[in-house]
Amino acid sequence: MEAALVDALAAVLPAERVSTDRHTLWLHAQDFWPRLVMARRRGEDLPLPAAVVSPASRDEVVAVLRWCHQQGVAVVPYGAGTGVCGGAAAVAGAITLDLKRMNAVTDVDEVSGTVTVQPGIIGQALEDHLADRGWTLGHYPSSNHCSTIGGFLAVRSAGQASSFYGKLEDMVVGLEVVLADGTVVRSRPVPSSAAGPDLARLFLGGEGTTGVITEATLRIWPRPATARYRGVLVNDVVAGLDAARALLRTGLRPTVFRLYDETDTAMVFGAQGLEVPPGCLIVVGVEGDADVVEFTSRHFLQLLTARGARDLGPDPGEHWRAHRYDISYRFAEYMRPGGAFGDAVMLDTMEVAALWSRLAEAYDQIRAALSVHADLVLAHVSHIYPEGASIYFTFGAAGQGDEEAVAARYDAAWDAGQTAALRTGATITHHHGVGRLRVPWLAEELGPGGLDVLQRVKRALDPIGILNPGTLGLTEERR
Amino acid sequence: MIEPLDAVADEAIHGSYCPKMCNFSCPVLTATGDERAAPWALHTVVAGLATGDRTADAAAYNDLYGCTGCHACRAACLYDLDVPAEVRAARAVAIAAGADPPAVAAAARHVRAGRSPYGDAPAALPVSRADADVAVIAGCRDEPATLQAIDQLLAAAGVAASWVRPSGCCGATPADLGDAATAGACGEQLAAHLRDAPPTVVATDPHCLPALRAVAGERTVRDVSSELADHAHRLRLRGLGAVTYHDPCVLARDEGVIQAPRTLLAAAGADVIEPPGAGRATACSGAGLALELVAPDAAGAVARRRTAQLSDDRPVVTACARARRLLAAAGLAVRDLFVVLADHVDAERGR
Repeated sequence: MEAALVDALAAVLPAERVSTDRHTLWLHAQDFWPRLVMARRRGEDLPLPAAVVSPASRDEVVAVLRWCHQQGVAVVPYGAGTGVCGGAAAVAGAITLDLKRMNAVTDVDEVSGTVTVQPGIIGQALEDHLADRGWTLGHYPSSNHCSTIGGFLAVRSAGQASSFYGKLEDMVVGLEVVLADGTVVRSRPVPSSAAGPDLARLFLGGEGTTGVITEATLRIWPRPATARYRGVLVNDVVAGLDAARALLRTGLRPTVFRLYDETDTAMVFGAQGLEVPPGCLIVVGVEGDADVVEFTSRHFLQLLTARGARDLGPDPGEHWRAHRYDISYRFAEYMRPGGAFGDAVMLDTMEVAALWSRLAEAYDQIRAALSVHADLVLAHVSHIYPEGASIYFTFGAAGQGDEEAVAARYDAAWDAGQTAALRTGATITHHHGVGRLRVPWLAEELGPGGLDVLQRVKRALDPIGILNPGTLGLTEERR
Repeated sequence: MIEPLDAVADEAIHGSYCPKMCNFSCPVLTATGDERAAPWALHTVVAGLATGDRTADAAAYNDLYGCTGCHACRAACLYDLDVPAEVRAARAVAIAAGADPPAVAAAARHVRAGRSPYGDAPAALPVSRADADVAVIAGCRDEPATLQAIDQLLAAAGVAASWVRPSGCCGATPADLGDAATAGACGEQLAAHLRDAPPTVVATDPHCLPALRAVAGERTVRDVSSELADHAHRLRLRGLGAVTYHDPCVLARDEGVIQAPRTLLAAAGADVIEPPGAGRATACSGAGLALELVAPDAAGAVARRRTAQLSDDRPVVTACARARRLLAAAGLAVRDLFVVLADHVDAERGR
């Protein structure tokens, strides 16, 4: 983008909303896609945006997008820049639209049980706001301390308590979006509607390619009065998957269900100072009114032990609660130069989902595929549904200082893992989204018809392709 | 008080690879929405200076603006990373390399003229008492009414005070600005003031505590509320109703002084209301790390957010002059803890 255009943009809204200083541009060059983190670590210069615009209101977003649409300038929506798939990474010459200034809680409707927020609020900040009033959103992803609600919505995020509260997309009661040409679209905040297709779904998972979310009304719940967490041990992953399915078929819902494969059990809990016997750990958490928690916990424990699970008592569950966000805090310990496993480490996660009937095969095949390229592969299951579940793989390799070699292993691991997921009937992503990372496998995921529909939607909503080019592979990056 | 850059470099490099996990805790990021204020962003600047990837210049100094020193990020951090210490060190490096930020020059000029770094004229001190039990160091942002109230309360508690006012400043604010020369000169003056001081030194402004400890030798250094709370039974306080107490970050989170102000308020009969963000989890007023000098708009934005949390029908009190000034400027009816307590000394019971 020409300097004159930046000047023209600054005339569209208050001048202090537009930044072109090098540091601000550099900060917005990246999100936390590990491939970009590795690139930064080896000193690679990442593409910079031409300007960073920080709107303070929906109307300012309208003004910016209208101007960009008229000028043909690309726009990358940006929340906290903590996505792990490159969806918020800068496009050279584009503007990055940083939405963190729009972080207000505009309404808490305690009669209906809804909260209305702007997109830039950090997840934990919203949770704290609700907690002060006796409510919870029920959305606790491991990135809750750092990421924004807008970012969560854009990638169809799932939290640790999704087995009870659902994914964030399931909590959406109403949505306000600004389209590429500045048109404002609002879905009416109602509990449900049959007034044609659900238009909000055009934007949830759109990762900013179909519109910019400027407000969301979300379902909230009274904060649970009681919580009870417990650990049991099963022999293998298949036994754990069977147990998860059986739990859900009782008609009761755990708040949290986590099944760790044997490696994950040993690595994660051992590293955190809790010795767990060999096997696969299951953490089950139930929250709510005391009598409901008492009944549900007892019933689950009976069911699990009747299936051969060994009761480990409350310690593993409480330990998990106390350390529920630690793994995200530990990212730097491994990825920084001179980290815990030396220089040039690669570390990432791959979350897929499949039907129960395919899940064990998906686990085996994806794990095997990743293991060809990674030194370490861990997996856990933490989002369960009546018809299937998500498997969350963590994989890493120590590059012994060779950044290029470890990057090649990283790319190969992703190719192998995603290909295996598709081959076993799984989805390539459960809640991290596509970004730039997963573009190579999206076409096969959607199939020719599905991809064509997505492209038509994109062309209808963003005819000149200014919104987040490159993400979802929908438009070529403008350079 | 200003650590060398080498001492904080490893922390900064670590933090620059953290996926911004303490974002939720940062009052400046929350109030401004400015990515430069994310603790991660501050780590990247400090790391860049430490590794030579960034030049130590005025731009680097400006990019370090967004911190109040409240340590909310440190409380959240699994690795205990100290962002304010990094910022002080990096600011000092930028200044040493020739950056000459106007706020730093102005603060140094004020201090040389015997004013506070903020330009406040020195407040009149209470009369020192002979055979003092404690030396009381007057904060440069405390108003005369606060100093008189503290003197009155100490007297009521049976504590004889000798009053000391550093010339201009104790050195804490220059250190926050990264101005090592001014901070050092202030420290030398302060040390001279304390040469014959009694074994206990009391600071009226909690921000002064680290500077005092740096020069106080074997003496005990503590805040006023802790000193007074030890003698609360002698204070003869009464008649205070419901009040909301704002915990200053430095006092509650850094010093761990949470109960003492509440003990004093309770001694006066107050029903202490805990606002959102209380005790160690207190929310920042914007008053620390000289944010008010380097980025007054950001400090004001932080104060407005805290004011929104504290605003109700009850009076609000706090034990930090800097916090009180900023919150008041943001529109909050907030009073100094010691002035409020002094207003509720029961003269009848004292006779």
